[in-house]
Amino acid sequence: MLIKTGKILILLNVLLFAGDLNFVASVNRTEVGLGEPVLLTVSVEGEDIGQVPSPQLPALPDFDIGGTQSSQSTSIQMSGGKIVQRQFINFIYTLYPKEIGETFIGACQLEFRGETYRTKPISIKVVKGPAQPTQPPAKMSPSPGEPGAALGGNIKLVATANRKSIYQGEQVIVDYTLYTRLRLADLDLSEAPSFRGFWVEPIFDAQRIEFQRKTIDGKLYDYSVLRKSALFPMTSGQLRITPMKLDVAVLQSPRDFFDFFGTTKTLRLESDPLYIDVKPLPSEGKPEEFTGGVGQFNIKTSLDRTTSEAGEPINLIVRISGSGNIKLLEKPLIPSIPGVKVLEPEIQESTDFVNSRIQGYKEFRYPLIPQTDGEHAIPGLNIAYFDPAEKTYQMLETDELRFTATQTAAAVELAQTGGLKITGADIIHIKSDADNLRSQRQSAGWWLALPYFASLLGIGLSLLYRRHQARLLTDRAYARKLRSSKLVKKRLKQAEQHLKKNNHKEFHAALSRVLIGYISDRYNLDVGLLTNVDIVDELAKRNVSEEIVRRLNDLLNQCDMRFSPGMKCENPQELFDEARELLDEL
Amino acid sequence: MMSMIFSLVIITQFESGPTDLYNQGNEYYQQGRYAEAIAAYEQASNNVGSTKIYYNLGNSYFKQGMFGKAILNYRKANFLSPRDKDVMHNLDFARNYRVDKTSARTSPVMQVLLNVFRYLSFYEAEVVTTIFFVIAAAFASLFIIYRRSIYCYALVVASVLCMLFFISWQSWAADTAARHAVVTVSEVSALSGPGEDYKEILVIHDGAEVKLRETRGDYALIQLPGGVGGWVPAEAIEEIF
Repeated sequence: MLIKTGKILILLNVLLFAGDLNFVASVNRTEVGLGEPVLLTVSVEGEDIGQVPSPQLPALPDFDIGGTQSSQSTSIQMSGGKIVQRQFINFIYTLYPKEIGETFIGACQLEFRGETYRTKPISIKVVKGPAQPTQPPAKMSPSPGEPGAALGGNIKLVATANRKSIYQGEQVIVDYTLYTRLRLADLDLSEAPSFRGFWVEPIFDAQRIEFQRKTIDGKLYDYSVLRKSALFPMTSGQLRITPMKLDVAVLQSPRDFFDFFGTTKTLRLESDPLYIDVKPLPSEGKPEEFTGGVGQFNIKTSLDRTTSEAGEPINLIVRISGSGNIKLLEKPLIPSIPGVKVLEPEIQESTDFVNSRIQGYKEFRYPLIPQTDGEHAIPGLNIAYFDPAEKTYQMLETDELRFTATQTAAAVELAQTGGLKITGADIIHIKSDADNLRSQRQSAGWWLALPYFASLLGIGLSLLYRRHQARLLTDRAYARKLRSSKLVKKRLKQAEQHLKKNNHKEFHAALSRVLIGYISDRYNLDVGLLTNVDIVDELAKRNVSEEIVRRLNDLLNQCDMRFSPGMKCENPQELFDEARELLDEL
Repeated sequence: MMSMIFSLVIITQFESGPTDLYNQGNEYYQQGRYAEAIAAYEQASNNVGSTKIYYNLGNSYFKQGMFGKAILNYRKANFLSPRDKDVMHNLDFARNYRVDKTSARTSPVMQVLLNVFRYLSFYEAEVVTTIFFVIAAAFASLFIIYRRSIYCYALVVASVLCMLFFISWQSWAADTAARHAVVTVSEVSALSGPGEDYKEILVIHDGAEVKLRETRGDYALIQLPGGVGGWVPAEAIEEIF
């Protein structure tokens, strides 16, 4: 059997080439553990192959087919005035090996436009358990004595910058190109270069490696550009771009007849670091209107409408186009326009890589809200940029633009514009009348507590009154006590009148009645039963002080003298005062 | 002697009268001399706290592009006269000119409630609450004395009204207790502590309405409606009430 242990076969380049159709089969691994899947990818590539049938798989007695997928992509290119449409169709089959051992996937077959295409068979080694990683660990450099030692001059990764000394903001293009004289099975980016200090515009990032040929120093190399980027330095000084690191699997020539497919060796390739000298922009003659542009630019301004009704916004469109650091352009300053409010712009940008330069435009749309009626003029804008070719600042100017606004006052209704609520054209005018211009009270202050106290007091008083009423109805002694004070006043008055009229007899009688009546009410005694002696005894029982009792006794005795004929009171006024004092004290 | 002359000068300045200053300010405003109008209104507002003066002052600051000061004065005017539509309109209008649009919006339900409870000003709410309290107390007294059910019903009605106005009053009281303030400088960094060595947390712009949590030395701890906050120099903000 010719097919010896096919150790490695990651990606087979063109196996069969006929006409304009490529038909390739590949697997993701050639050594597989039992029960693990192998992905078989059958690729068809060519012009106008949209109607291509699915390829016929060979009989696969040693595999179970787990599933099928297909993917399709198209690229359209102009070539010599002709549109060339190339299509790539991948048919992916998931295969599960059935037995441990060595087996192979036979040739796939495709019939298209009357021709038959076949792929080469692929051998597969099935092991027990998960397969070991098929690739040896990456080595920084091939060790001497091994066949890989000869690779040194045969494969290299080259980083190039199209310029080494530029102005800040100027474009530099950095390419990473792989040159090889060897057959490669696989490559893997292990470390991307770092573009610190730069604004990066990726131009090209290889998805498929397509080699072209070139003779260097008399040797023929295959080369392929892996990555191409346009860089714009954002700071000045010497900037370093770190190397790109790449792991490549190199197919080695078969050492003997049985090493049919050869083996691979993994190499770590590293490009040289790049150093770019970045000169700062000259500060001398730097205009105020400079907005950060470095390159060659043009400016165009326009309005999307020329009339605005009822405060509708009009868009002022400022479009800066050209080549250079388009995306780093700052928004131009719009001078204040009387009667027009300028809102923050909406920004659109688009860039392309044309003729080895980043070109495109950046557009700023400023919504303008007219606030007064009439024609408004937007003054011309001045924008400066730095032209690195001329090494000077250049000034761009635009023409004045005009538009007419009507019914701005009617715009009081809310309008929704750019996320901002416009509630009216302007603030409402000041108040001009000075009537009633006085300090308005912020708060009532401490006196506010008074009504609360008064109210609570009122409630308290009414509660007391209520209780009083209730006692009047139920408590006889209480009622008598209350009544007595009224009677006392009335009788005292009578006595006073008798005193003035010099009616001594009546005066004494009235005075006596006042005292006895009061005492009987105050102490709840029965009037009819009382003699002077009784009263004094009763009072003494009720803890009335001895002195008052004695004075009361004297007073009552003096009043009783009215009954003894011929007796005259010397000083009736004194007697009356004494009676009043006693009443107060009782 | 010096101090006497000085005090005399101040008195004569005051004696030009808030009404004169107000009219003077109006004249300046009409002529577009907003800075002078501001000076006149500010002096008038030192003596007389009136909606009209605060409102006109807010307008003048707005015309000068000082939106923080404008919002501050409109809010003062709004506090005194919450039913003044002009004040509300200009306050809303000025708020749109702020740099920081992040101020949390109040929910619609809350807005309706606020509109109801902010119908009366703080002072009016205080007085009306008190009046209804007195009325309720009077009916309570009458009911206690005469025990007629009609007084009881009147008491309930007066009490409910009193409670409603009390809520209105308290909603204002909560506002004044919260110590609202407005940023009146064009831009200020809020720091993590009261001193310039602390880390910057956020940048706040003119017109942001904040709550004043605490002052320590020359720094004030403020909080934005969303809850974030920090320490700013005390002169960067002004309290409304």
